Amino acid sequence: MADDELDLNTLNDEELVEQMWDDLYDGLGEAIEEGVEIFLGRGWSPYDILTKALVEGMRIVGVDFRDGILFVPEVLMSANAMKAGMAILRPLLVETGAPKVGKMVIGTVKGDIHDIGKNLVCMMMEGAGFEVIDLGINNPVENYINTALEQNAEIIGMSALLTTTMPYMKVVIDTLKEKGIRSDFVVLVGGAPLNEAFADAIGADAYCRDAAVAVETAKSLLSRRQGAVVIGAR
Amino acid sequence: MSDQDALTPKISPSRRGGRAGRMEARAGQGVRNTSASATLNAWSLTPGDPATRTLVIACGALVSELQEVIRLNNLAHIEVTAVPADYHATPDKIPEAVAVKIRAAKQRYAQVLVGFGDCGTRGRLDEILEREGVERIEGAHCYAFYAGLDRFAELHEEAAGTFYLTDFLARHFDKLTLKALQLDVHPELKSDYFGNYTRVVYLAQVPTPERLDRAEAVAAWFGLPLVVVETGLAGLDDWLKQADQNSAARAAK
Repeated sequence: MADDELDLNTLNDEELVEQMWDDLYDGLGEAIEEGVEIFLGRGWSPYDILTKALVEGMRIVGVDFRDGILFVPEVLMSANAMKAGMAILRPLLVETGAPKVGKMVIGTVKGDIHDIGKNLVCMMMEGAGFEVIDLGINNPVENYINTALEQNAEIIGMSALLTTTMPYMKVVIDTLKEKGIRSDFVVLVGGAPLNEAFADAIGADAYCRDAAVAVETAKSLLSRRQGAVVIGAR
Repeated sequence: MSDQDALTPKISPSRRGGRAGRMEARAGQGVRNTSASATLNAWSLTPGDPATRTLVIACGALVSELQEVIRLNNLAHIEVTAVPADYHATPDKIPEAVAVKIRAAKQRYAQVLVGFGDCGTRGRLDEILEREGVERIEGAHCYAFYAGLDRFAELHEEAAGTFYLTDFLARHFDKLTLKALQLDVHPELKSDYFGNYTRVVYLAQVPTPERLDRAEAVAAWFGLPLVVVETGLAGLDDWLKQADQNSAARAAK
């Protein structure tokens, strides 16, 4: 169905949200920018546009990627469309003091330069209200630990695509243990060759199958930790 | 198709009705037949007595080279059947496709070998092979052994952002990389996929001027320097002969 001539201004709020889900699904960056601008013009808060239109749209994309309906190229197109919307919203979110859920340091491990999955996680975590410090690729253990300590982050995220590089995640976790600071951080791991058994074996807190799972897992583990801190303080 | 053709967008981004539109468009699309019966039909064309023969179930990326090793060593008792090389783009398909071929092959061949590395199957291929008592190529990738696993590890250590070519991968770069990743229609995704790569290494089995030109064209597409490592077929030769002997010894027990 080709309806490129569709005037987004003619849609009511509910229709426009649903159209933005479709446009994210189809990877249409310019349409997403236009939708964001229309909602801003209608007085929507940047946070509502982010969560109701963009994050929910990417959640739908994530579900269909998980189920084998969408493939990596299509998800990348969707992610780039979301990036276009985020570029407009990011400074506005800072100005309007949108709620911050927590802080995460994340990077691809030493010896590995693959970052597609990691970048998706960054974007979805940011969309969910996390402050994300992206270390990029090929990170030695010091990068994770020093940055997490300096930035007072609650979460360390590690990504790997290669079976030859994923064991490095254990090096990071063992170093956290040696320094006596393992329990100061939630450690999340992800990447195509990983699974839950591997995450358990190396002592991570959780394996995250995809970006949406990473967001839910991070929220869940942080709230549990905060609950534990409150109970411990009594 | 020339390299330049492959870089030309064929489809402009347009509204396709989001999820609902895509589901409608995909309804009724065909599925590739990987059933045992399809495989057996192909095998029925193979001459000789399978009961005394070895079958190598290999990634399509290795078939030509395996056949060359068989020819050079006069290993007439070994035959090769392929699993499509483009399954590397969806590696979850590989274990089941191999398993189907193993189960069918065991009724017809004395020994079975598998010409795959782990190839992104996250150990699931190994689980099947262990259960079936079948040996595969060592290493994470089915092309790593061309250079030898130690040399391959050195190459990775030198530059983690290395894109590897073999004779086969250079020849089929358009189909296995550009088309599989939809870069032929979405060239703007190039930096998402390959922005962190720093060089192209061509593991050359039988480097001809045409193949070297092809590897150079691929490196030019990336905009990266090309390193040529002549491997020959020794790694594949060693594996095939050793694995065949191992398999025969297991069968004799």
